Amino acid sequence: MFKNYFKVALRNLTRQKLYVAINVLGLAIGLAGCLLIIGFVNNELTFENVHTNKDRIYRIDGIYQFRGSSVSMASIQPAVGPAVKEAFPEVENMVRLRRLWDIKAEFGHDVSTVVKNTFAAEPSLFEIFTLPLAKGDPATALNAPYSAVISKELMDTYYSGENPLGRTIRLMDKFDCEITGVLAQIPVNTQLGGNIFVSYATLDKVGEDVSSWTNIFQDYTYVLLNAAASPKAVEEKIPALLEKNMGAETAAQYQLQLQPLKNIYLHSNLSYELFPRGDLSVIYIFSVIAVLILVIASINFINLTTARTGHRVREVGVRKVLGAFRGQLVKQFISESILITFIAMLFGLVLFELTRPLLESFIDRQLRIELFTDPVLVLSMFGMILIVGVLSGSYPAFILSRFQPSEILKGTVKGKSSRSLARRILVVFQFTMAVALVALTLAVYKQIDYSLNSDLGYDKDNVLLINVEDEIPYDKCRIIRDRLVDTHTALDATVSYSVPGENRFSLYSIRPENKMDEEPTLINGIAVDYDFCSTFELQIIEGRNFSEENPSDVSRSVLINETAIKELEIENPIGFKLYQGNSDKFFEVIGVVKDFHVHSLKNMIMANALILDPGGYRLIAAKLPPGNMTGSISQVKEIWNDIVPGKTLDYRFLDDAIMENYEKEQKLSVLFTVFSALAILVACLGIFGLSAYTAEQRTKEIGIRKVLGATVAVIVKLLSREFVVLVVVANIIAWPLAFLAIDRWLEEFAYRMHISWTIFIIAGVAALTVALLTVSYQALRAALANPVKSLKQE
Amino acid sequence: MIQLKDITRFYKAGSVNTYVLRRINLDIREGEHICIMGPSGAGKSTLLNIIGMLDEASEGEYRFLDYDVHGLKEKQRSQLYKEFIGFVFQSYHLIDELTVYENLETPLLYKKIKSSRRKSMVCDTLDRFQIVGKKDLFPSQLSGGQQQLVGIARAIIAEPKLILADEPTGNLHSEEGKKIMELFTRLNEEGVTIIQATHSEQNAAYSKRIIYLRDGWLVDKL
Repeated sequence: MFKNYFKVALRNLTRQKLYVAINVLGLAIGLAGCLLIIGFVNNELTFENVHTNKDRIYRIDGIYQFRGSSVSMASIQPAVGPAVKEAFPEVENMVRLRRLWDIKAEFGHDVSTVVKNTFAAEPSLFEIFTLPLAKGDPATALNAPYSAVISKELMDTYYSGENPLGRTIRLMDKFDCEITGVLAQIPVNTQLGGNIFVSYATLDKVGEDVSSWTNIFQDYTYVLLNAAASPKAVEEKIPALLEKNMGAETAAQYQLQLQPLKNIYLHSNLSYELFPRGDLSVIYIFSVIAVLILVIASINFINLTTARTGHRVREVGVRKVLGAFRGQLVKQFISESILITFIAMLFGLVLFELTRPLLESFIDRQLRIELFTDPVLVLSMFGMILIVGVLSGSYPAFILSRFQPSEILKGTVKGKSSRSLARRILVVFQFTMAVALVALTLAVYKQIDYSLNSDLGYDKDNVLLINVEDEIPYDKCRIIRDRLVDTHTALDATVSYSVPGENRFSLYSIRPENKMDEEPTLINGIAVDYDFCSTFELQIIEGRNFSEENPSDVSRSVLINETAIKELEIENPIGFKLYQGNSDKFFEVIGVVKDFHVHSLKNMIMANALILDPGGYRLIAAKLPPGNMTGSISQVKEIWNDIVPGKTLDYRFLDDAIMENYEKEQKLSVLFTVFSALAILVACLGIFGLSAYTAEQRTKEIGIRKVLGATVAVIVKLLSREFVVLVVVANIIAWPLAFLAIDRWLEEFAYRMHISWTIFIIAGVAALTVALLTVSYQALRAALANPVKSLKQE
Repeated sequence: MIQLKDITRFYKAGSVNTYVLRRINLDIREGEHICIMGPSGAGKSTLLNIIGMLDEASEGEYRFLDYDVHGLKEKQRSQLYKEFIGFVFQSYHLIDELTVYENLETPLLYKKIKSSRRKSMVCDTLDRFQIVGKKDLFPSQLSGGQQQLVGIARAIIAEPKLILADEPTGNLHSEEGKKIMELFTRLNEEGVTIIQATHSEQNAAYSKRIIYLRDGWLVDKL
């Protein structure tokens, strides 16, 4: 029986090329998108599955109480790990990891480089985690001080073809390590991993603290519990352990908890996380979009199949007369739609392979998507074929199988669109989604534009940021600064800790003089020098700027912003004293600057202080004259090389730095652009097919109208009107939906653009235009056809 | 075999009933070869459809073999005609997407006949109608007469007791039509009951009994 269905289906498909092409293409796009997203989500949800012990590994996290506020951190004190392992029988094994940040490494032959992701780790690293070594013995590689395990990438880069074991690398200009192991390729879906793992024993030798009970910024500590142990029970025993070692009063400030390894990637959101985390909201957005695209594509399928009932009713009639029950016909049509979905899946797989590298470059990392071996993915592939096939096949199947054979064979049923209400609703639904997505896309772009171009309270254009960190002494920086200005290379320049828009600041603990009896509070501070305000064109609305004529300004005078005055309830700001912490030392306010956005527009403007501090600098900011940027930069380079020869000039522009604050939004906008284009494309494919069939169905009517004298324009209008109405209705539904979605999304921003109605108009007009173009092709074709031909039959 | 009692069929058009068949009383015994004659619109097809259970009478009683057809549910009715009735149509109504062989096979599939038995039945029938050489062709590759041959072959393949033929030669040349009528005669001689609707006197000559319909009434003569 199925063989018979299958044959009919295949022959039908080869006969209805346009219809099949539209269906298959639309579905293939939908399925490919879905596969990509399922693959991505699966990758995110199976993080850390590579570790054999994954269910028994926990990280010890800290919740610390300081001055009434609590901070949750991923790092804890170095003394905790060994003590926990020693004291609790449930803890089978423990490893401490310490982040060494980006360090300078010399691989002999004068090859030195900055290596990212470097750690110190205890030997048990390889026992707890499944991190196989390509070379070396995991049992001993990290035992001795001054030994190091490097990544496969480093080996391939610096020791290609040679055996790195036994070779020496010099780290941080401080100490030499012997390479005792090389990691095998680290799977993409684990957070664990790095380029250099130095043995933990080395830390002690080079004078690092490995046994403090109070230094919380130190170690990331993972424990392996034995199979029967309960993490809760272990957690409950920790306070007693801390008390024993730290004394009850101090111990009360340190609360430790166990976090399952598997939760860390998606659910842990602590300060000082060790590795980049996944983003649940991205997973949600992706999933919703995947479902939407697939639904839109399935709707095409339903619409085109029901529109085509005319082509199939005779077959239905004959089959019924030959003894087919309704159920058998339903089965036949559903298997047909499963077949189409299957074919679409084949094309979808091709699309998937083509677009996967794009997705990976977009999210900037590799994904593990093993379509044909991962049972979850294989199942979801077949699941999608079944679900899409059955769901989109069943409506047409029920419509078709319902006809009475006597009517069909008499010729009274023509599959005329009396049942097209459902079809109209579905078209409206498709375009509602498409229009809403377009509006959302426009909104994202507009908000980004608003964030970058609204009045930020400072001048961000043509500002060059030169990274100096602490490698170049302050006076050298001043010399560079002065030379830049004197040679007119820069209009102005300043040396400072950070710049507005960079989202970086220090926290200063202060007691305002009007609140001396309260605990100190924290205020954002930026260490600056004399030219900060002039370089960024900050407005001083009261008092004066720092001045070189006033030596006492150094480390003592501050400028505060308007928000600070409000928040600290200062009445006469000039001369107001901010005491430092609990000490007698104080900052004195000498001026007030107009509020400016220290952060991105996602944050409210906070109380802020500018402090003249020659010690705390990180960069030189130079305001270049507009115009010839390459020329200006090469001049900057000359000056740089003259004053600090041998150092490389590391620079970027402030605009770019500000832009980085909106990286997530930028990516979102790209994503939305792609998906709204897809949504429109698939929806248009649908009405393209539908209009083809409407035109075909109404061939006779059109012929008669033409004979009676209708012009081409009248007929095109006649055929397009229905679709135009549907798209307009879709717009009316889509606008409020899009408004709500945009409003919701904007909540992430403290400073929002005004949601302008033009967004909706543009989205609507765009959808309408594209729809009209699509439909008018078919309408024109029908209108231009020769009526003699269409009237000849019957 | 068939008893029709006061069979009336009308369609509602607004508040007016349009009558197609009026109080038809008819007895048909097994093995008869009956011809229903009448002008277009006389109700021939409707009568055939009602006998074939594709349509329901608005009023009246219909007994087929020992069943009260008017009292059956749709599923039982289709079970009944699937078992006992074969249909032949003026425009053949072959399934365009299937070959001759597959068209013949389809009713057997719906009767859930096993594959090996099905094969031999189809082959026998192809043989009997001398269309073995055409078995892999599609309907569009056949002439009208050949298509109708396949249509009849398909109607009898499941060995029905009754064949209902609605203008079986209406789309054919007279030569082809003659062949089809000879075929019907042969089938009738083998014991199959045949009822055909036609307006051709020539066709009517082949049958043993003629029934006349005019404006929905059964009449003695046209």
